[in-house]
Amino acid sequence: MLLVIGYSGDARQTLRNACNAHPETAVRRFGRAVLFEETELGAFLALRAREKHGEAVQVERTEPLNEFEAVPENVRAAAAAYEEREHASTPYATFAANTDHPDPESMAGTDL
Amino acid sequence: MRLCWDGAEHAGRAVELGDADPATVAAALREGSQIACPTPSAAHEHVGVIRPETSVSLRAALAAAARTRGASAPEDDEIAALEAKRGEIEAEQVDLKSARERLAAAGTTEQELRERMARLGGKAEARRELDADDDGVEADLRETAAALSEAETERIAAEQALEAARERARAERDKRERRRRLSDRIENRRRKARERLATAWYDDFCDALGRVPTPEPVSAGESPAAYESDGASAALAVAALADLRAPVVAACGRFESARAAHETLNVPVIRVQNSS
Repeated sequence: MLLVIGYSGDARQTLRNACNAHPETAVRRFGRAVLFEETELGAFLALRAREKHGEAVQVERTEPLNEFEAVPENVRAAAAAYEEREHASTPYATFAANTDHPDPESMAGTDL
Repeated sequence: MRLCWDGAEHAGRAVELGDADPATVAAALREGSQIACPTPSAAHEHVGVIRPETSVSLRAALAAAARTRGASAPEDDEIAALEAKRGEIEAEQVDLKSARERLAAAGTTEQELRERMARLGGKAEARRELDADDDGVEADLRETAAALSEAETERIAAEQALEAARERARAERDKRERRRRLSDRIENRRRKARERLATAWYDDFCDALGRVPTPEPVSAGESPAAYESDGASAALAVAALADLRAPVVAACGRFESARAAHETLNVPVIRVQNSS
């Protein structure tokens, strides 16, 4: 899908108008961002907004994440284990200390 | 009401429970355990337990009290219609995770078989060039090719299954989005209805405020927004105004007895002593 973010009031208005005119192409609307279908019309709407507002419009191409293909097993296991933690208020760094789970810094330093 | 507390039985519309913990009594009321009485109303959520430090959301409490007296708001029909509409939207969970996992596994299997094919292919060619013994390599090659073709089929099926699951998930998210927007509208109408009822019943509230004991004279002003006195006084006035069948727990130290509280508020009362 195409993620289009507006960084000015005018840009947001343009995105709102595009969504209202082409609801079938606007997959999802957020406050200042929209997801367009990855079709020529979606691209057209994104590019038109960028033509009009320049760098106040950011366009990204997104793809779904399949964690079983792209994310190492230890990171997946850490996420699952942290969700099951006993005390909701335990920060992840504390939770991971003295376990086999990766610490936040090492994860931040490793690209997928 | 009839209740059994600490081994003693009590009955009537005014009950003394000495130094019982107000929160425990209120919980028993909500759960219907130990106390036999009508089900607490929505107004009880606001004024079901009145302590010296009680604070109330005056508009919500007053609106709930007005409804116990049979009041309704023009927004009610629309709220009911919106709620019915929201009730019709049934979102279900789509299992994307197992579809992602299946595709990842299928991709890995296919990749491994491809690499095995390449190795075996090279091996078979070398044997043929050297006129060496086949040694079962050709058979291995045929077997692997068949497995690879099967793995490809599985990977394509997994891709299609994930794609279909994503479509369903998107439709489900559309439903959630619609339900969320309906909830926003419902909450908005409810707020309007509360505001309207609280305003319409404010004179009655002020009258009730004049009947309940307060540590010092209270000034209620013209509207809920203007009320500046303490929460316990407001809660007592709301309780006095409401038509309550289930008891109110009075732990505010403002009444001589449960009977006095009952006579002033004209609702069933459980009085617990409070140090303040």
